[in-house]
Amino acid sequence: MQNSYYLFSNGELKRKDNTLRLSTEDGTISDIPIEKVYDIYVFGELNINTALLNLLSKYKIAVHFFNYYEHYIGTYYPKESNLSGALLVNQIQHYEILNKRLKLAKLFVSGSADNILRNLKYYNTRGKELDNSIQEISELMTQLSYMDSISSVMGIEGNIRKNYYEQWQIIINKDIEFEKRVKRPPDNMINSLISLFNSLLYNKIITEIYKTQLTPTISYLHEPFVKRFSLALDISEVFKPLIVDRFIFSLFNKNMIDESDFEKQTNSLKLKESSFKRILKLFDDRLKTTITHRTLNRIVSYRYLIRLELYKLIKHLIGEKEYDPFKIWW
Amino acid sequence: MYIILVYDINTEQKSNVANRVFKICKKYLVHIQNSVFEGELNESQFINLKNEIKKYLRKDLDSCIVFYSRNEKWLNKEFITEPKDDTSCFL
Amino acid sequence: MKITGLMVNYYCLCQRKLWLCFHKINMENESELVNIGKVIDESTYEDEKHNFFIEDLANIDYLKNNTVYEIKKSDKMLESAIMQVKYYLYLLKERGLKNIKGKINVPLSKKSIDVFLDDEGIQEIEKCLAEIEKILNYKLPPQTLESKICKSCAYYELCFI
Repeated sequence: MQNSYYLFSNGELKRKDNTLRLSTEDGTISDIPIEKVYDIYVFGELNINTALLNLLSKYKIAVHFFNYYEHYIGTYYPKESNLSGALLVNQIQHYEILNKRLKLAKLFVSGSADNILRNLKYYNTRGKELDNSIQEISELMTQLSYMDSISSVMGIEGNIRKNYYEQWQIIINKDIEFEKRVKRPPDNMINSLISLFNSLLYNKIITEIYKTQLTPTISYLHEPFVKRFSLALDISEVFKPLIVDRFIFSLFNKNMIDESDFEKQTNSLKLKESSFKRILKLFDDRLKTTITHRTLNRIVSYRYLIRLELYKLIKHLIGEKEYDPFKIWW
Repeated sequence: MYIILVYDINTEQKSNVANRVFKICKKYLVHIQNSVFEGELNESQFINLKNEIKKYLRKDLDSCIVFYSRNEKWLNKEFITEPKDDTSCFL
Repeated sequence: MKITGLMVNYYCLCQRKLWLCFHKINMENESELVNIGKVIDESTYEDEKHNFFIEDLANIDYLKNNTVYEIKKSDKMLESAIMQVKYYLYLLKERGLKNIKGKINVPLSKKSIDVFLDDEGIQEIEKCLAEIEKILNYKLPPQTLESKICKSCAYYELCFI
């Protein structure tokens, strides 16, 4: 039983008695049981040293860092202990051979679109007028099979997402002006939440990739040159509708968030610290939500669904079983 | 399983048992009061913890008791004094 | 090709596991059941074990009175353990140590099994080594076993997803 730890305090994180100690500026000391740490998210200003990194490496714990604006800045990714040369060769081959790459890229997009449609249909049956969008997105999906370049697959993906985002004003029972996705900087509550939780999902996926033999920098839908762990971006497409989008809908529709939770920055919005903690806790609970897996007949968490997706990808890459992207089945 | 571990280490005889046991417990559980630890553990973690502290505990001098339940929700917890959440993962 | 004692064990247990493990797609540490087995194993026989290595091919629990001892925590998968010990004897024989016996102890069920390496056993081992080499050269992993033992295996999720 391990947990993600989220550190907001300013101070020092160090190794003490073979476990972790967080000493904050205001003098509080918390000892964190190292055996229970799955990964760590740092939002505060923390001093760290190599003795700490040593301990984190020993326990294979990845640490994700964020800046003052809650933007992701990087990960401490301990030395790989799960290396498989054979798998790496396969990962590269699937990138280099265009047909193989296209196949995976399309699968990521269709997986994403299936889950987007699932969300739209869910709200459609609850009285939201989404028929047109459902039809348009289904149409875009059928075009996918004719695409013969990565950029055109990306184009379809972009159009599906654009269409989908346009429906958010209908899905969310709030009067928020949200017509399109604005990233740098996010201009309103919804955009700012999308940025934040997409990035957290991305980090959750990095942690999972680290626990497998997959190499995080080789990707298929996204270009591997984007200076990031782009495989995590590929995988995130499939999970955004379930883990991020539905979460944001329920935050608004269950009145768990409003303007007062945000503070205005020069040209963007940022969650206030107390609200951020509260909402992050909800997000963490969401990842711990469990369901009975249909094929495995075992109880798994949302977080573990990500791991299973990576196993499916491994089986695809070694040529054993074609990747069948995760679809929300409930 | 959800665990509350309490111990009493005999300190009449000079030894570093208390210190050793304390340090080991801190790796697995949250220290909530003097000689009291709390937290959720896997069975394998629990066995590891027991193995580690058994090496130091002296059968005739020390006492160590573990209360556990399958799940945290089957254990009620009430603060008679000021409530404090030491087991939080949001720090 | 270097074939380890563990590989011989896996060959008898599950050829798929053998292939995946050789290709470094490891899943140990991932299963709580496997972890429990490991910690019990590590703690129960701590005093008895004096691991003895044959190059990097074998990790023998201990060697005493011309006998190779292998300790198992359960008697469920004895067949693969017997082959593993026979392979140890084979390796020792190759290195000039003859008249070595093998013994598998299962303290929890108070069982003790003697293992010998006769001519038939040598043939058996050599056949097994050739088979292992063949399997490891397969392009694809062998099919899943779909057996009762899969449920407690660390590879369960990978195999059945």
